Amino acid sequence: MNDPAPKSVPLDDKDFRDQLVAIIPSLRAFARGLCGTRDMADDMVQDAMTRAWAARQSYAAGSNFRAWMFMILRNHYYTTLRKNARMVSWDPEVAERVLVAGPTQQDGLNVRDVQAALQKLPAEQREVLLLIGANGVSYEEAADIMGCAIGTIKSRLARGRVALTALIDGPAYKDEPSGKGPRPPALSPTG
Amino acid sequence: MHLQETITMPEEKTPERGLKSVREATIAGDDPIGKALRRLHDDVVAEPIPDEFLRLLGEIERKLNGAVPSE
Repeated sequence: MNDPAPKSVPLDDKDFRDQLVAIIPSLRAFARGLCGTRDMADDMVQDAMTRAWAARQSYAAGSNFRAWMFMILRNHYYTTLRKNARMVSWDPEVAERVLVAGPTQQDGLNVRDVQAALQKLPAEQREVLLLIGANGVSYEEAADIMGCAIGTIKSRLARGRVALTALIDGPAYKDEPSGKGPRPPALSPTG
Repeated sequence: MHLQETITMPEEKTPERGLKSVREATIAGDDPIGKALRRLHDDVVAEPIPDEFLRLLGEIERKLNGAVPSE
């Protein structure tokens, strides 16, 4: 009955399922940030879970499950993005419904403003801001997930921050400007 | 804020001594952008998992239970 235990094996199906369950909240958060809308994000996560289940034999037990799942999700996101150009445009009416209106944040940026601003960024910058800023993954893990070099991750994060700051500091967001120095340049659509 | 100078430096040559890396700046507790991004994340994570996910997992569960052991 007992399997011999080779070095690199797929997870037992039951364990795989448990890992899948445990990661749902993070996947939903990542997808919500990417897509901007709850329904689209949740659809995307379910598709990613279905794909992951179908491909579970290719996941090696003990490797980074989160990175593996996030990679499946973001690959699916980009595939869908290419198929559906509508996803790239930010719809303020949809944005209204994205986030449940919480209590006004006294101590920082409005989450809804940030969500709206994120949707205006190039997808690669949005993605890296979410992975590192929201999920707290390392440069290395982000590079694995996005399939690019760490230097690319760093520059996308830096550019994303500048662009996001510029968007948030724009006319819609009134708060004390950071003081000295010129404002960050307007969003430049470089990948 | 030191942010501007941090992010205009070429990464490959940034010694990162003293100066915060962009990642460190972003995940720092007092960074407004980082805080907003984390709140975005935490708000979703705090939501109950919607039913359709449970249905999907139910399907997987059924496959698990119905599966003939491969040995």
